[in-house]
Amino acid sequence: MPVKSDHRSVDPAAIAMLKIADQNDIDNIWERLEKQQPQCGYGQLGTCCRICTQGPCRIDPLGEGPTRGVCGATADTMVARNLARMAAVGSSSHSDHGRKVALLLKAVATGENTDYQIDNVEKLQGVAAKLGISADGLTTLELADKVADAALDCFGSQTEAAIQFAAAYMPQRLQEQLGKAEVALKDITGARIGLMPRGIDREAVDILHRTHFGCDADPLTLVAQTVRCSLGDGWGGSLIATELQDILFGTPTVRTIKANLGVLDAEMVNIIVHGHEPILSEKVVELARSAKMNKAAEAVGAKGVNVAGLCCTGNEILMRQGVGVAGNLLHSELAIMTGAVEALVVDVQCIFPSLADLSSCYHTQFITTSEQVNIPGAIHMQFEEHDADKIAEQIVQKAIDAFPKRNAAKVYIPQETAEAVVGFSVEQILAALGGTPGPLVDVIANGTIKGVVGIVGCNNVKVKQDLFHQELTRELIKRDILVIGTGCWAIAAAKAGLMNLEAQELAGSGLKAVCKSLGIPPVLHMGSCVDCSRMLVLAGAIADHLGVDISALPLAGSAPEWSTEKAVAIGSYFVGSGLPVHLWPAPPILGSPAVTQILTEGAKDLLGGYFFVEEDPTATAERMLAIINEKRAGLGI
Amino acid sequence: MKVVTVGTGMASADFVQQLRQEGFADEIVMISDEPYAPYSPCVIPFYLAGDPLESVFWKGQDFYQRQQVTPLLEHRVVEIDREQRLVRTEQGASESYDRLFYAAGSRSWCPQADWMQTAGVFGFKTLTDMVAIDRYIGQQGIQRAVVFGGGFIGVDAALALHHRGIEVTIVHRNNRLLSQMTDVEGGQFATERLATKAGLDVRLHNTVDALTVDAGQLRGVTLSDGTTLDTAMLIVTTGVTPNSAPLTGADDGVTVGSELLSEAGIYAAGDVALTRHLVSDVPGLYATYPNAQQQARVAARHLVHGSGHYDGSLNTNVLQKHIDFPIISVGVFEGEPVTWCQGDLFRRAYLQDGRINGYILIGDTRNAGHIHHLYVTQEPVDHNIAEILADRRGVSHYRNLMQL
Amino acid sequence: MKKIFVDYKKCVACKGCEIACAIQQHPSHSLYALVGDKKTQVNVRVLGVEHEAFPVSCRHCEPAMCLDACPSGAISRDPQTSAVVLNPDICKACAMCAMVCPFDAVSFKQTHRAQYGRTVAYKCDLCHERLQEGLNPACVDACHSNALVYKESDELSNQRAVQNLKVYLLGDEGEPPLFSLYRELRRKEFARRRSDKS
Repeated sequence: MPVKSDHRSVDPAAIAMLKIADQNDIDNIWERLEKQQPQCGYGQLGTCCRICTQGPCRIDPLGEGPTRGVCGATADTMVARNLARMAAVGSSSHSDHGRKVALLLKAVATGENTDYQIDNVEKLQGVAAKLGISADGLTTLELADKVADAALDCFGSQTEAAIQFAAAYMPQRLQEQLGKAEVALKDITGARIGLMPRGIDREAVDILHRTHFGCDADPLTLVAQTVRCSLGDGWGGSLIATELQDILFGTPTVRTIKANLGVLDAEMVNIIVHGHEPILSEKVVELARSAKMNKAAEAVGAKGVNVAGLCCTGNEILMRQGVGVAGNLLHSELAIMTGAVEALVVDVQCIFPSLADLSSCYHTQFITTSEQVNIPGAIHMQFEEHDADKIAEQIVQKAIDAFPKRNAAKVYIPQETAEAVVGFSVEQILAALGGTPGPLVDVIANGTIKGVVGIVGCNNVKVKQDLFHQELTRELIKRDILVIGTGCWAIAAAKAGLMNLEAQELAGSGLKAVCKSLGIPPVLHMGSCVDCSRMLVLAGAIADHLGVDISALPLAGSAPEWSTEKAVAIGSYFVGSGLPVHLWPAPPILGSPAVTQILTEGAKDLLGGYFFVEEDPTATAERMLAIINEKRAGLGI
Repeated sequence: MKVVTVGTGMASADFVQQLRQEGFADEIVMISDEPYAPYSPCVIPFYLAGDPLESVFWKGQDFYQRQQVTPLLEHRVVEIDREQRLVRTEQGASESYDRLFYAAGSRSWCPQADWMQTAGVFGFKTLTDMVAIDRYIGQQGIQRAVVFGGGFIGVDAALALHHRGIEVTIVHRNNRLLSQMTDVEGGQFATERLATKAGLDVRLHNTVDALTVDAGQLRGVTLSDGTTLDTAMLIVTTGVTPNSAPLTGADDGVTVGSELLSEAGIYAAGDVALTRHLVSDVPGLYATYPNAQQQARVAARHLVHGSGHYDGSLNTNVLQKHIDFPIISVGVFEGEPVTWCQGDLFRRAYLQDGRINGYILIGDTRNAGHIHHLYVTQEPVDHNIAEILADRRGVSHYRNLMQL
Repeated sequence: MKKIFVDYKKCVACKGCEIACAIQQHPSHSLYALVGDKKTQVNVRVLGVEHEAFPVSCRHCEPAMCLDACPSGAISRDPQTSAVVLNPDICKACAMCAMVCPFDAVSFKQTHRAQYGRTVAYKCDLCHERLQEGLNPACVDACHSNALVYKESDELSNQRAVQNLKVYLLGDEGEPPLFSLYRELRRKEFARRRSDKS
């Protein structure tokens, strides 16, 4: 199929599938966006408050109508409360994922769960050491038990002290800087305002309390708590998810995978795992690779069982198992439209409810597995960690059973796929550098590489799929800026071939030379969206190596096609950790001059990090280069 | 000055109303062979479908009184005596006039004149027809009917009867219903939906060739393909003939100029008037209400003020009665077709020199007004017609105006 | 004569006008009664055209093409308010009006006012009954941002209004800087999303 341009996506496979969707009038997210137009400006500006039943209240941005809600809340209060709630939800989503991993580690350590094992003892020891847990005289399981307890304590701790993981992983200088900011905030407001997270759950609950009717109305303290809660995600919930997953399933290592819908195989039973957690998908991959299941597949006329990933579940298993990835968020409906997917198995987060109806037009078994994700029209097969092998087998069998029902006339798999070198955990990056960040710091210091930008995911249907991800990435590497990142951005970059070694040619001469000498692409896949914690850890390692603040480093972050509340949390913990963060589309804050000022300017003085909004990829790259140059000048390099 | 209208149809009613609005205070006589106040032919099928009779009198049942008109009803005009300025009726009346407004309308045309003498065979044009059909259905307990002729009026008749609960077979010569107001594809698209969604039994490539009659009473019909259908009711909608003979000597229409005068002192309008087309300039019988209304207004103003100009007629058709998929047809289907079709929506425009020559819209009225406007103004649309046809939300008019 | 004007730059697309209209037109005059009621009638629609959004409805044109096209006498002009009013009791839903209305202001369905259990045409009636009580049209009162205004319109602009939407869409200048930024970002978002290039 010849590739034509399309206003919805830059991905040729997506364009081919959208053509089929158009021809057959298949409902999809782009259609639904059209049908939602125009969307309410109060919501987009953040000035709609539905917190109590005396409302809903809206403050119009033109000053034509009332300037206060029924309770007296101003636009500033409303926007800040709404933003804080977004961060609470986003942090909770990441952190609850982390909690499940910690609980699994605990169950494995105590012997309650024998379906899973500890894969990476070295990492376990490393994490324990970082937490100050002595391994002396302990068995692996005993050590795992202590690490699991430490992790679980971070969720439920009721003291005023910072959670253990944050205290252990966060660079000392950052902790000091946050302490100074706490003092500064007290000077401004008179209130005791903490920024170091006390408990992962507590900080989210604090927001729920604080934003209840008649509590916090000050945009400054509301934003401060937003940052604190988000730091509990980045240096807490997400970090725990990453670290403990590495212990259970292995720390990612460099490998080559295939990306895009072409990873589906017309002759095999195709199972797509979608969502965010590896706990189930690791098992699905294991079972799908078993002789027993492949035999069962052959019995129904298939060549075998093929697992492909979508979104961050896809990222988790590509990083550790080298499983091909079918696409990012906006591919989830398109994948079903290939007509070649026997089962779409989902865990949590970013699952369109529309997938149920769409699957029913095909033979696709749409299987939900989490008690937190129930979708009318889906088949629910409750996943239980203690019975993982059996349930995973039932799921794979369900897919195999669906294979004979496949309608060959409906099958179309676009063949555009790209190869990507992935698996860049912090450990792998340091290993490539010879064990310390030194060589990376050196090439940054001597200007061969100007700086590093971390980009995180989501697709947003309001942005042409992958356009911003791809263009920003290209523009940055062209400017000798190393790009690292996670989530749906990482899949976009993989699909575009930017994680290929050949992409070295797209980089500026300095970056190109460094990548060639290390044998790495100029664009590094660091994992799923909880793995943004890896970027924090890397930034911390570089800062510690140089003995400076993270905010002094020539680093920046970006969420160029963001859509979810999780991205609010990520952006906020980047900013709270001292990083300038680019966003597109604009967050729902423009209804409040105060919140806009705090996030884009005030935060810079207080935290070192700040947000900026830019719609053009090239202009964004330019702005980032300017930021990096400013930081370089600050460091005297 | 005394004004006489031949006919009490929509053109005559609008003419009289306009005369009064323009301040004309002299005597007006309106002559009709029917016994009714002015009624709307577009509305009368609803009487058959169950609506009350009052609702057909679109300008009120007291129209004559309100407009201070002398009605001469149940008188059929047979002669216009120009010498003596007299209108003579079959019933023996003669009415003098200073100005004559000739809008005698048209009547059903039947392929075999003697069929109409059979009990159970009806035309479908006048309120008299409707009242007779209604009475007949009641008396005979009619359960099924055959409509012969699948043009606009035939489909209108079939839908009205179907709505009343009668099983309707519609017999049509062509390969699609509404063949005059559609092209092949559009007509077939519409026919398919009339059969499946509206529940009509459609027999294409067929004619009613013979009637089975028992003692003057219809019992059945035989189609050209040999099928026989038992039915006690046949509606003949195979065409209409303008009632122009009393004025011109032949039933082929009355040619009028831009002042709507067919000759000094005599205006003609409505279904009998041969006018020029607004866009194509082709003369013809453009028998729709909006044309009749404009003609009546121009004629009335001309009569009172001595000036006025009729820009021309449009051939517009829209069928939506009793169905939820409007079928709109305008202009001629010649030129380059541009089509957009999705699900139950069919939209096609024919372009000539980049301008709309004709169009068919089936399924909704979303863009109908915008496209109508573009057709009437003959704006060049070759650059954006495809986008306009594909617009499901009705934004193209606004997009155009805001230059977005 | 007073008319409803739209200052499109002030429209926030909240659709408050749609809800207010539905409540006004519903026999219960209650939000909760109209939810899920298929007969609910909404005479105004907030339309998104690219990044711009604004309420569209009947313009109460003079002359009104729909009024002239109606063959059943169902559309008339209210002498007090100049509103073009549709009488559902005698409307036959023939669609002659909709066929010629360039503003797409006439819709069809079985509303609460429909007689004989079938579809009728419905359109904005300028809330002429509210006007007679000295009130504004419901949509105008509902608009928080003053995008909808009910004000005097002179003869000349009336005539132009039939042809040119911009007479209705005021686009008055002057807005807070962050709102300008919001509008500009929306414009960029749509421009980029629509472009087929790159």
